[in-house]
Amino acid sequence: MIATARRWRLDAGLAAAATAGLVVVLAALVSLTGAFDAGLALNIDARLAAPSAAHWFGTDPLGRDVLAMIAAGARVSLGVSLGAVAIGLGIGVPLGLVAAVVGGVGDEAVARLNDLVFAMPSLLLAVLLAATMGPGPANAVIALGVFNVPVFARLSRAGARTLLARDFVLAARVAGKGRLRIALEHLLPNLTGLLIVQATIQLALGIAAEAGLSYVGLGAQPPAPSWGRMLNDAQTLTAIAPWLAWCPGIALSVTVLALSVLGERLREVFDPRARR
Amino acid sequence: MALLNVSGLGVTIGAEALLRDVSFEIAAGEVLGLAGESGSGKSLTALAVSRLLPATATATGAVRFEGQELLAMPESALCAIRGRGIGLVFQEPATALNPLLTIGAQVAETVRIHLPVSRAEAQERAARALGRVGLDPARIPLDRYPHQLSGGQRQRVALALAVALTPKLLIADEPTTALDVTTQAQILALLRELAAADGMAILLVSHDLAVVAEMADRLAILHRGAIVEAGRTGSVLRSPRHPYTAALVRDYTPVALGVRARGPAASPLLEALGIVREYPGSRTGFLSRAPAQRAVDGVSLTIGPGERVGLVGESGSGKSTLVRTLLALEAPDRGSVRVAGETLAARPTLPQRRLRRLLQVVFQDPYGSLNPRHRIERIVAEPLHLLDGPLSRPERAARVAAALVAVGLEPGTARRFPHEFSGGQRQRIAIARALVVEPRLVILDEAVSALDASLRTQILELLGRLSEARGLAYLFVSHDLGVVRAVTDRTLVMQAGRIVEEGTTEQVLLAPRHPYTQALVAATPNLERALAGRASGA
Repeated sequence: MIATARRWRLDAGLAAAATAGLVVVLAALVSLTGAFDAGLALNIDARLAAPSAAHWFGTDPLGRDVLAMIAAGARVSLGVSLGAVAIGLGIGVPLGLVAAVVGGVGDEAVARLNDLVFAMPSLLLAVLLAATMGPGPANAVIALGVFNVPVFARLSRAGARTLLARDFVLAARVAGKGRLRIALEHLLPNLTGLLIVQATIQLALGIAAEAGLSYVGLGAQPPAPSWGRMLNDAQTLTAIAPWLAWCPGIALSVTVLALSVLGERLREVFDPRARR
Repeated sequence: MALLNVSGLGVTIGAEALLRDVSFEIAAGEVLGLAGESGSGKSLTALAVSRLLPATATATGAVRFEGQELLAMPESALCAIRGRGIGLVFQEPATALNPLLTIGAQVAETVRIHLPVSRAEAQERAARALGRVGLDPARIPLDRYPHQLSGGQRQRVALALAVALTPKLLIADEPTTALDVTTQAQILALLRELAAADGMAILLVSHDLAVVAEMADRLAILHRGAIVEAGRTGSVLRSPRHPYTAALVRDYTPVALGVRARGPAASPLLEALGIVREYPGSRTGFLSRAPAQRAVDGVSLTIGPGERVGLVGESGSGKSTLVRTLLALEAPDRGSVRVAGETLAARPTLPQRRLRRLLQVVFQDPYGSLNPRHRIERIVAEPLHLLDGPLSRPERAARVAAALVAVGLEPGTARRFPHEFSGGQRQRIAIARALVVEPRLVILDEAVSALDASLRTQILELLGRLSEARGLAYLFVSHDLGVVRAVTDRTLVMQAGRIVEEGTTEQVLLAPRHPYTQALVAATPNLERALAGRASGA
């Protein structure tokens, strides 16, 4: 009973990793080889073709191959979400670490700023930001990235504060190391596991959020394909060409699910308390 | 017929046999001690007998309690026996109680699970049980929560839970290990009293030979999952037959390093002048705070070159806060710390580095004091940061290797990570780190408290050799009077943030003047005294 449950969980983790890997490979193929360029060309004769051997996922009203569009959309989704996570890590982690080692007023300021950003409805504000700065993937990265900053700042601050009380940090202070050196040499390496896990989860959330932005037309602009806009475009055609909605919808759900499961599994790997 | 009969008990987790062919009996009203070092399977035996092993473990053999086979019994039947027939007390009183229930409710709950009594009657019985363990409901009401009690009081509540239904057998797994010596003495006396009054048998698991020597009628010694020797407590400890038992007894009393007479030093190495360290009081309301707590209250001390000084006191006495202040990890609210005549400050400026080089530290927990992500070479080399200029790579490696050799480790271990080492080896690594900058004074903050007796002996001998060879001074901070007595020349006794007694170790520990020191010395378990108190052959 326990053994089968364990095996199933292991398989879920592997499946999640494999799915996430597939999305990355698709995105890479699009960027590096242009493998799907032919499928993205307009071909009015083949418009609204149902899934077949030639077009696995069918075609859209302009005759573009849906599989090729999903692959190209994966690149946009992943790119925007990765960029947003990078902003979160790049600003949030140093902010959290410095707050933890400096303490006092600075620490309090960072903590309250985090609370402030957390209190805002993030997706609505991302819509607002993207709308004021103008639509496009670069601005989507910024709009989503801003809300990743407090997530990573809070996580690294909390993690650093527990580590600061550990004896090996005290020993480093007795060895005359300054606060910033301790943050880099002792705190950061011991936080990587935690950060990788959170980054995976934020990546999943970012992909869903990017789809939301492009659904309302604030993400990647036409003709660049994106999952969110594919869903929007498919709305009026669901009766005659259901694959137009199903394919990007499933791609989106499966990717987000895979990354979430992967994050959960990584958490178990890095956190010995969650291990059974 | 024996009350508890364990025969051929084995426990395996995965492919590993952790307990092999363990057999013993406990008669009604008898106290059986189960002693051994960490990892010997003591706790596992206690858990197996009460069928509380983790799900991944499998137990074989037979455990019969009053003739009933426990290992084959369904869980529902077991529940009737646990609590009612067998009471349990564990090491950590902080986690043994439900923090959301009052102590009265917890004891009453146990009563109501096992007996068909009314709520009021259960409360009544709970009050009586708590009264028996010394928590008089008139002074400590039943509606207190565990966090409002001290560690010793919590362990009394845990004991009240265990004995509320007057079980025939009490399984006590290191019941006093987490407590201070004076509290430990009280709890042990209470255990004896309860056992005598109820005719209760006890399975007492402990790593402390003096504790079992005081308490147990018979003693079984566990080593690597098997009982190597068993018999009357007195004869096992006085004339052990198995070499492992003999080693345990020998290592229990630390070997004295020999007194080193020293005249008053011309200039003290470390001077603390009127150190005061306060912590803000805890919040009592949204805006109000309790008055500040003085953790260290006007402590002055001096340590001369090559001097070995002990600092003893119970938890909460302010020892650790004082150590952190001496190391300039925390600034004192008043007073100052001077090293070689200069004031030590927290900022690592260049002249400060020269001072800091004279002063290093070894902490208690060998698992927490080494960064798990760094290799040994990096860990040991860390204080080299205090040197005036950076060392070349080969110079660095040479100094790390020399420090590792000095603590009895292979230089080749430098490339490995901390998790590849045992607790004793890790503590050697921590000592190597302290020695690598050739300090004049090392502060040892409970540095051998987490180690088994045999490892403790090795580390103490190592420290003795190093102090002879290098003229190192020590500040040996410990709650263990036996260790302090063996390795120090002078002793300070700390209570409630103050030094209450100071003098040569001989004088302080053999003829204490202050009542607190006297209580401390009297409460410290002493193997010789415990054995002397027994009739010969008992």
